[in-house]
Formats: sequence, C-alpha cells, structure tokens
Amino acid sequence: MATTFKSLGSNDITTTRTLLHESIPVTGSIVSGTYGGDTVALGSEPHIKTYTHGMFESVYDYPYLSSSANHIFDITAGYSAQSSLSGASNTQNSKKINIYNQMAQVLMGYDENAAVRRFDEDGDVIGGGTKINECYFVNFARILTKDEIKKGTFELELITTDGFAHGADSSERIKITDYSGSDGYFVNSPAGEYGVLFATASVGTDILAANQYYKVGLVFYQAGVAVISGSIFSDAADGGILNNSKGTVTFSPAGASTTGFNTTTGSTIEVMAQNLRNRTYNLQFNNTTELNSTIYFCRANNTEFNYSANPTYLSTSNGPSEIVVKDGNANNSPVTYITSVGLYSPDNELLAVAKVSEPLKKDPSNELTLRVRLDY
Amino acid sequence: MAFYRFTGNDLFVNQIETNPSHRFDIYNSQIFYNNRSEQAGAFNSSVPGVPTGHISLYEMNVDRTSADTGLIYSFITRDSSLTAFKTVSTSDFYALDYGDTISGSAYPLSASITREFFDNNHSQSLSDANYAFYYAKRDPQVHSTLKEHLDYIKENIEGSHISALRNTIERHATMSPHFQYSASFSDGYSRDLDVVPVNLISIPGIFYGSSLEKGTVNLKYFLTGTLIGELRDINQNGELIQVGPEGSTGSGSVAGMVLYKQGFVILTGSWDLQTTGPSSDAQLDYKNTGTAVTSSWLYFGVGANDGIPNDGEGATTRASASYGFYFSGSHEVPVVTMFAHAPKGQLNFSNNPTYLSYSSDSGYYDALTSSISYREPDLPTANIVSSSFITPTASFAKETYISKIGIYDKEKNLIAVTTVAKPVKKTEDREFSFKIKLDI
Repeated sequence: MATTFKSLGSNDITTTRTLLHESIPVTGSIVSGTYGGDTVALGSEPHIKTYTHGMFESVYDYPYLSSSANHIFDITAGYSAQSSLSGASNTQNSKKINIYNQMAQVLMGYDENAAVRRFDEDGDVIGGGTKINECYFVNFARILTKDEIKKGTFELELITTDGFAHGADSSERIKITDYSGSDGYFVNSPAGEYGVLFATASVGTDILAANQYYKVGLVFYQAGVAVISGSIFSDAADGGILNNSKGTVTFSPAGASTTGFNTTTGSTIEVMAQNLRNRTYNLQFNNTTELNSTIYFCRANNTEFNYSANPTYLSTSNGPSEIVVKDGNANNSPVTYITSVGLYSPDNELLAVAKVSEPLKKDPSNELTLRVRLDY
Repeated sequence: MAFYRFTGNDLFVNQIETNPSHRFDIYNSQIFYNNRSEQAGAFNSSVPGVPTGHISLYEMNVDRTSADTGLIYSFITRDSSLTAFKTVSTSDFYALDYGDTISGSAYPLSASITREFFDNNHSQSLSDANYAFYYAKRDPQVHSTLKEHLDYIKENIEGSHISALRNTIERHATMSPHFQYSASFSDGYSRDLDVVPVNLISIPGIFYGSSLEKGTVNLKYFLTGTLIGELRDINQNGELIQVGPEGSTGSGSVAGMVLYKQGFVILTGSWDLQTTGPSSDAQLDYKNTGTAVTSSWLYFGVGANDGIPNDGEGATTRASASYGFYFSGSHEVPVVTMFAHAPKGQLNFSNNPTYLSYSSDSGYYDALTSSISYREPDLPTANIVSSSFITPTASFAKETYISKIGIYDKEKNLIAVTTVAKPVKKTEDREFSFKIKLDI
C-alpha cells in the first residue's frame, strides 16, 4: 500500500499501437477431401454445415459436431439483377440476387440515387468501368481475420481443370492475390478498406488468355470478405480470363450443358459453393490484431522513494523506530528496493499494479525511470 | 442521428460471478480433463494439438500439423516500439533490422496441472547440492568475464517452489494454523515444510480465473478402483480434511491445504491410506525409484506432468492407482448495464437513403435567382405503413425500424454498437427501453 503518490504529467504518458500478426494457412485438404472423403456425398461432409434456406454453406476446420471445431469461413454465390445470367426461371434466382444485393449494400454502399452500388472491378466507383455482376463470396470468420486481413498477404490458389469433386487434377492452377493491397487499397467502402484481387497463372502452361494480371475480385480487409468474380472459371470467349484453348471449366455433375459460372442458372447456391470449395488448392493470408498500449514513465528522482512503509523497514531493537538498513548509523543513506509500481486513479483508487522482475535498489544516489506498459 | 445522454438511472455497473467446474482424472501418467479422452484426427493424433488433460489457448491449429496443413503462428515486425515476444532476448532483438519478422511460438499454447514432489528434508538437500555446485565451479577464471561466470552460476542454482511460496502460505495463517510454514505447537502439532515431504499440485490460472471457489475442492484417491481416501475443504478455510471413506485411516485429519487465489494444493498427509481390505498396506513404486511405498496423500496425482512415466498393468504397479481432482473456479465479470430509451414522438426519422421516396421526385424546384445554384430536391418520406390492400395504401404515418444502437463517449466517438435480433418497429405513439449489457 503506497503512502506517497506522484502525479503523472503529460510528458510521462504516451500511447502506442503494436500490430500483432498471425499467419493463417488453409490448405485445400482442410476445406475439401479430408473429412468424409469419397464416401460422403458432397455437401454432406461432417465439416460442412448446410442450411435449409440454402443461401450459403459454412466450412469448419474439423467435423462441426465436435467441440474442437472452429468455423473458418462461409461460401456463397450470387449475381446482380443486371447480370446477363439473371433470369426468373433460374434455380434460386431471387436468393442469388438477394445475396448479391445484401453483400453489395454492406460492402459497397449506395449511390447518389439510393441504389445499391455494384462491385467495381478496379475500385473506381466514380469513374464507372466494369462491374462484377457475378461472384463468389468468401466470408471469413473473425477468429481467423481478427481485426483485419493484413494488406498484401491474401493468396488463393484455385484449380482450373475440369471436374467437380475434390481431388481434381491440380496440374493447372491460377493464383489470386492482392499484391497491390499494401499501398494500393481503396477507402471508399462503408465497410472499411479493400483491395483489388488479381489472378495470374500459377501452375501449368497457357492457363490464362494473356500473360497479365487480371482483376478478378475485391478483398475487404476489415470486413474479412473476399469477393471473387465468376470469370475465373470461364475462358476469354465466355468473357472470362482462361485461355480459349483450355476452355471454360466444366463442373461435371452440376449441369449438363453449362460450364463455369454459367452453371449458376441451373444450380443451387450450395452447388456453386462446392464448385469453389472443391477447386481450392490453397488459401492463406496474414491477419492483424491491434494492441493498443499506454506507456507510463514512472520516474523516481534521487530524493524520492527512498523510504518504505513495509513493516520490516523499521526496527525497535536498537531504539524506537530505527530504519533497519541504516544499520545503527544515522548518517547512512536510506535504501529501499522497488518491487512494484501501482497506478492510481485521481481518487487514489488502485487501478493496476506492475511488477519488476527483480527488486531494484533505490537510494538517494540514483534515479530510476520505470516504463510501465498497459495493454488493452 | 439523435444523441441521448444516459442519466443516473440508466447506467449502472454490477458484477457477475461465474463458477465453471473442472474435473481432472489422472491414471497411469495420463491426465483427462473434463472427461475428454484422446481424439485422433485426420492429420494429428490429437485433434486439439495438445495432450489429453491440457487446455489449448485460443484453440487454433485444430487437427493440423506443420507438414500436412501448416500451422497458424503469430509474428510481429520489429519497429521502434521495442515490442517483442518474451522468448526473444534483448540481444537477439537488437540484432534484428527494422522490418524484420519476429516469429512467436506456433499455436497451440497449452496448460495443465503439474505435480511436484519434495522429498524428506528437501530444502537442505537442495541447499547442499547448490553449494556443492558452486564450490566446484567457484573459480571465475573458467569464464572470460566475471559477469559471464555469475550468469553461469545463476543459471545452474536451483530454487525450491515450495520455499518460494513461504510468504504466501504464511499470509493465510490467520485462517488455520496449518498455514504456518514452520510450526511447533505445544499440543504436538509440529511441522516444517522445508523438512517434511510435500506434494505440490499447481493449477494454472486459465482454469480457475480469479480463484478457486471455496468449498469445492475435492480430491479422490483410488486403489484398484476402490476409493481409499477423499479430501474436501469442508470448512472453506483452505484446510483439506479427509472426509472419506467413512472410518478410513486419517479420517477427519487435515492432509493438506489449498491456496485459493494462487491455485496451489499442498499435501502433507503421509499416513497409509489403505490399512484394511484386500489391498491393505499395498506398496507401489510411486517414486519410480524401484522402492515401493504405501499409498498416502504424498503420492496423490503421481504422473501428472511430474516426469514419472506410465507403468505396466498389475495390482502392484502405479497403474493400479488413479486419482480424481475436482474443483470450481471463480471468475468475476464486471458488467455495465445501460438502458437506452426511445421516447414517444421521437426517433421517427431515418437517414437511411431508402427512407425517402426518390421515385416521387417531381423534378420541379422553386425558382431561384441564380441559374447555377443547387438545392436538394424536396422528397417525401416513403410510406411504408402496412396495408391490407395494394390499393388504396394505408394512411401515411412516420415509421422507422430500429436496428442498432450506438454508444458514444462524451466526445461523441462511437465506442460500441449493439444490434437487435430483428428490427423493432418504432411509430410516433410507441416507446421502447432497450437494455444493453456490456461485459468489461
């Protein structure tokens, strides 16, 4: 219990912010193929939770009935009412439009006519340009993204060969990154900052229509949402990014004659989600947690804190209340050992206690500045 | 957006005490926490990534290995804030350049109970060993500097965890004389924790929170499946009193003590717990030294992270003994409760773009004196009052839906947002009070 208090001035208090990151690898084996394998129907795997409303599916890192499992992300797909794929006879047409509109109004906001802004391919919503009308949405759980996805670290590798089930031939892959995210992000979203996702060939030859970075989506860093254009599975002739010689990817069991994102016209959202999930080769990013700290510089000047209220500090064996460390000689300097620093409110209520790793000797011949950091 | 100030009756702070119960079962050097057995995954032999009986901080890296799936790990970037992980030494930190990555340990970080046994006269033995080491290595010439030599000595001198608890134990002496570290009473009670054998069980704070809940600590000792001893803190003063089985040796005696706030159980009861029955006076190699001894509280929890390996099956092996350790934690959660009122006749306008009917924009504006002036068009409020018919529509009334409540500080910085489960319809003649609870 302190008996003397020293006020902290404005020069004794400062605030800092430390960014703590985590590396989050999510291999394709986690999202598809390991749990359930070939013996369980797609969408019924024990780590995939589907819902009767059929508007998205949830991916867990372990069978979700186990208390050990963590929800890692949700996948859904949708398109704008202005998309050429939109049609009243489509499977779950209104739900796909609603999904798109809901995500767009939260992530992109409204325009000057109170209409929902569509996702813009290059982030320049004022300048117009190409809109992303058909897309997959990957909503990451907060346990993975923490405060935000670290800009410039998002990486998604997708298989572009035909097939539907997991374990497809992974000899041809594209990689989607936000490589310009660290300094080229946008701030015109109501949901925070976002970067443009670019696709490039990863493995295989002549994968893309041209040797360039294609804009294929947006990643919202604070919201933890990746918006991926449906063009990633279509060839250039179909308006996509893949080389015409490769053709648009066929998701064999889902539709007889439709390929790529066009499968959506006759497929449910869950099937669309499985399309993406089963073709995920690797997904990784770093997250960021902001640790806000206040640093208090507690200064013990030479004439201060040389006395202790500890009961053992005084002795009556050599007379009334003699300071023990003076060893019977009144001319000796008093000595104390600082073991802890208490931070008090203006009303002298003890709020926090800081401990030093070993007691610090304090006497009139020295001065100490103790740097106390309070994280919150 | 309207701002309302909380009044004295709208804001109060209280505290919720939670008491999660915990159960550890120890058998043949394996610990089972809350009845969870080992669970093998597709990649890892233990799904949580920690052995049974351990708790995983953050519960990340579920069924992962570095080879198959990669592990989630934390890192920070070296900058001028001097922040680093505790595992990074000062010299290593300053050897890094600005912008270098400092990696922390890969998750999971785990914790479990730990047993530590202090044998007879352990303090003196430790002191002798330390002195012998120092005496043998006292020549500073073997190191280049005196500091290096002292650091070497310091690293190799061992301290005693039970001695380190001396002040803490004695602080509780007002509760019971058994908390006297070294006692010698005229009525015969005499004991020195530096001298007598001690069984120390440490419980990490992540299990219990602020303290162990008084009156809930329960230790059960089984031999070949039969309960031979049970301890409880029935007086809630830290004394662990043998309460069972009825009529057992030592029943009613204090076999140890518990430090509630610090999470330690200290057992000193050395009497033979099994003096009757088929396995009476059975001796087991509890110390793993080849010398069998009788069962007593000194050997409660053998194998609980104390370095003693598992044993083969058989009535005379350590596998014939098992232990149950049960307690509840006590954790206080301060809660701020706020009442946010939506009075009648207020909060009936929204800044949401859909609140106005843009389709009703006539395009005709009042005449202005300048041809380059701009003014917002006059837009009517959208009529969203429900009607039983498409036409005619219901009579207009101002109607909003409250979906969120923002909490602001006195500088009007938004510090918290609370969202209702579904939007609440607010009309001019309705009033609401929203109860908001914030755990801090």
